[in-house]
Amino acid sequence: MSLPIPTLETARLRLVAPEERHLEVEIPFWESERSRFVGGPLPGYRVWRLLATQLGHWALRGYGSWMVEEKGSGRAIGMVGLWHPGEWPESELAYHLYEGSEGKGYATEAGRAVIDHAYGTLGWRTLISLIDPENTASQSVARRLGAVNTGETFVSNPADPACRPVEIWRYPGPEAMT
Amino acid sequence: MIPRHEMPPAGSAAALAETIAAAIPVLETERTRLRAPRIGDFDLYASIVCSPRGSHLGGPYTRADAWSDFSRAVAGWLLHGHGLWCVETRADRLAIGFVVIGLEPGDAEPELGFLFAREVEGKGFAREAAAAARDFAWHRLGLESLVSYIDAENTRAIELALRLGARRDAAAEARLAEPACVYRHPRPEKRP
Repeated sequence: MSLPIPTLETARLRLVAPEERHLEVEIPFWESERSRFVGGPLPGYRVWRLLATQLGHWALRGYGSWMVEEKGSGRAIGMVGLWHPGEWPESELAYHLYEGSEGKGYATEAGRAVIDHAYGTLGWRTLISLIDPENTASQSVARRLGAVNTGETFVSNPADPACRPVEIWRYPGPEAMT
Repeated sequence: MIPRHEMPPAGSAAALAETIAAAIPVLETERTRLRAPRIGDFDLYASIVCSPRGSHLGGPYTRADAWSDFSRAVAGWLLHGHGLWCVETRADRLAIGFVVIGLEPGDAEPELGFLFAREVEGKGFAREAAAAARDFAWHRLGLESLVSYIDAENTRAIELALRLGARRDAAAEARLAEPACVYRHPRPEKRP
């Protein structure tokens, strides 16, 4: 079945539908310590489940996560998207970059495109990111995109003692973004 | 009140979700219709897998885990071209359960699964719907094999598998990493 998932483009990046072939870049990320602030590390077999959950999210909600590729090289550099699994308080802008792709402004560039999609194409009025209090790299991206730490926290799985509370960062509404 | 994350999508997101749903084949039997699952069907899914009967299905699940499981079963359509159907009665369009042709890492072959609400048991709806999905697997998908993985204590599911003509496959069970009963659906002769 072909995916009617829209492709987004920025100056340097292309946001495309995630596919099974992307497991080869997602698995090393989720197995590494880099994923510690976004729910990892995870064993490789769990990463397939995550990818499948992301695709089911597109099918059920009509929005979701993209794989981010460098336009020139075609190299996958991370993922970005609008994510509302389980019992999240509301839809969030979520992103993670693979090793070696940070420090180039890619997360901010991709995040900007997704915010425009959320407020423009989807017509949303609000947007948040859920960020680990120690994840300073992610906080910097959110701050550059105009988000403010509300100080409110959220625990996605209260039954799991290892589940860390995250802070709710809120982006300015669509009026303020234009 | 419907929790926010279980509300159907709106606006252009709804249009995209509907495009994907429209690509999922609809199967009809005498009394049932197998159709694309939608967010509104999640409550029924959760009511089955979060209940004590979910213990036969790897649960009982928390509602959050049920959501992930539901999403993944739907994603099968995008990954493999087969996945989860919601089963409704044709007479009154009441959603009564789910049938799935699934394939997850670790599965040696595609699986036919069925989940039905307790209230509709004993009426033959599950057998009717599961048979339609099985026939779809052979004649439309052209699958080479199809099994049902069933917990040894899930007697109702075992009865249903037997009534569908499936037979226990001890050799396949011996190859599994985790213990489960394997009921193999016999592949029909290729049609001329």
